[in-house]
Amino acid sequence: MTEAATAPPPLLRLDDYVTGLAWSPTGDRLAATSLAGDLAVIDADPAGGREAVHEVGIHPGGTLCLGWSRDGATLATGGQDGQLRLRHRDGRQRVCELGAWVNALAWSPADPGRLAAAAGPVTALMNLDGEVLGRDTAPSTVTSLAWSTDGRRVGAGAYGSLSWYGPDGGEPVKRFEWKGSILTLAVAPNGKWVASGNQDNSVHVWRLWTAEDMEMTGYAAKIQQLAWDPTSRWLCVGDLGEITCWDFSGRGPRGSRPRTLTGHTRRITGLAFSGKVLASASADGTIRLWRSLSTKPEAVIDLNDQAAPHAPAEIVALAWHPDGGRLAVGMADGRVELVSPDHAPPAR
Amino acid sequence: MSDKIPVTVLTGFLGSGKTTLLNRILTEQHGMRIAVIENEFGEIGIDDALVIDADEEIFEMNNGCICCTVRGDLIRILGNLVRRRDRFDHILIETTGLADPAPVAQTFFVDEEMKASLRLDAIVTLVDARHVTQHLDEVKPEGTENEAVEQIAFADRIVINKTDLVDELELEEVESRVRAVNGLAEVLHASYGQVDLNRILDVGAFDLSRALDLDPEFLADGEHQHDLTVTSVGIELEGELDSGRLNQWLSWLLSTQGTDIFRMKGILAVAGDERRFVFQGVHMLFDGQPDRPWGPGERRVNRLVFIGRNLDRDDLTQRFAACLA
Repeated sequence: MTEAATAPPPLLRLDDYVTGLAWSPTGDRLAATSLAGDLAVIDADPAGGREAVHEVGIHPGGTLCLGWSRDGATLATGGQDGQLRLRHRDGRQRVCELGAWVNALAWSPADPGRLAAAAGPVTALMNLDGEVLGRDTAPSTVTSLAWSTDGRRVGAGAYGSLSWYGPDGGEPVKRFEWKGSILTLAVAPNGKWVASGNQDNSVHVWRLWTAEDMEMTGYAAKIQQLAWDPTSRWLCVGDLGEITCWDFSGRGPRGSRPRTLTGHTRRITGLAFSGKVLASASADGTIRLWRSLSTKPEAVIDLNDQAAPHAPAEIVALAWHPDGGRLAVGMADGRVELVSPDHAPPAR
Repeated sequence: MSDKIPVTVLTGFLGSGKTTLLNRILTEQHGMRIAVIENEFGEIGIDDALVIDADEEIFEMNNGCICCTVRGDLIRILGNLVRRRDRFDHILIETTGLADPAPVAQTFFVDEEMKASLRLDAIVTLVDARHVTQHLDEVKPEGTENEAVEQIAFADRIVINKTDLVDELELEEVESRVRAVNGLAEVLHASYGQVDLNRILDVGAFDLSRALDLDPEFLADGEHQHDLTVTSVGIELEGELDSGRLNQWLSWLLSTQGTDIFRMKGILAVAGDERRFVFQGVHMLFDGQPDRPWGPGERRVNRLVFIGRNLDRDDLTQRFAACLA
């Protein structure tokens, strides 16, 4: 019997659709989650063998969100089981019952001991022991959370409003009312803007904190992918296959035409900057790298295995290593791969 | 794409027998992986089924279409279901007797992700033979809907359940009341939820490529025993239509009366096209495509059905006739 040539095994194989990937802030570890409720954590550098944690089903129904604390000492995961789990490097673990699907979590950029979690319509501010310091209930489910860059406020996007809470939670300190359903939020690195991607195929942008707003409408699908470049000049938006880039320099994007980056043939599932390079991931199985948002990609990395045309790669998650030297990529079938931006064979 | 997962919406008032029917479906369709999304606590506990509770969250869409609403909770739950590696063969959405069926249906037309992986198969409404007349007659405060009427109006299949509790005459009365509201749906009778599942599951009621059957029988204006605000109007007209005038009329109609038109379906003969044009709509959302060619000797008869509130049959007929080429 002869063995057919097979692709090397993936870096990681989770049990189902990859719901999230996150590098620790120092880049020494990569965490990945899936709809099977998996959590996998591996050492980024293989020297001395990969010390891996792979627990299946820690969140029955699916792990929906994850994130590292600012100092990298704690990893939080939230799931469909209504639980938020905190895993500290020293081995301590905390489990917090929030009672409804934990759709989003976000760590404070200022305080490594503070995080916000959204469970159903509730936004809870918590400490490292998983204690809820304050909570508030919005009129509808909170789908996304984003901190202001100074860590003084955290925004919770829902249907009808974007509510802002102080680091201890409780009553909102500010509320941007808007009649639409927010799916994702992105705060500009310079702290001046917050953008939302919405169910009604639009992007809404507010100036912090005047709440002066604008919107970009007419996209081909609901907007789930947003990314600001590190200088906060560009807001990039992904829809069914096109990336539009809005220029916030000078007089801003109002009335302007966006730059469009085309080439992907299916839904954009990840957008992330590393310095000047925007990486875009798509369900079409390719990663494209766009330097300085040039309309010609610097690289197109195709993860489809030509030997296996019946099992196309469907990329659904993307994360740059903090040093920009590699990308972690997650797929609908549970595979996690590392990709090198110079298009070399996957780094192992 | 033929591998889209069919979704059946099961609606009906408390006491109409939804839970019994649901349990029957889950038991008899063994071997099929079925996911149930419900928003009232039922007593379902079947091995192969996944049961998820939903909280009705109605989102108005900010797209200038005033009656365009979707169910945000369903988008999240279904989005999560379709991503799973273990695919479901069928999804059942059970709504409460008070739920508005329109946002549920529209969710499948408006959201790209839903459209790509799911297909709305049919809206099945259960009514209780003994009590439905009473529900239909209930006078609601100004500005609020009679949910029983709405649920019947939106249905593709109406199951009159608990027929054992009424006599033949009463059943006839119930059926005629139901048909007066919705002349399009297939009406089935059942007791203890014993209905042929093949008539309610995988029926493709929203599938334009399946032969659209518009039964001319109800198209004639039946005698009105009751003063109904929600009715069905069927129009049958021979001849070929001018596509320009037809488009103009339909877009005017939907923009002015879309809120009042719950469902519509049609088979049309358009001048210059050898194929039948088939379409359907839920409120202002419209979906149409050319169908098979007209047969050699086939009469070019246009058939159009509206189900809605305050429909003016004469006005609709007249304006439709003005579209003839």
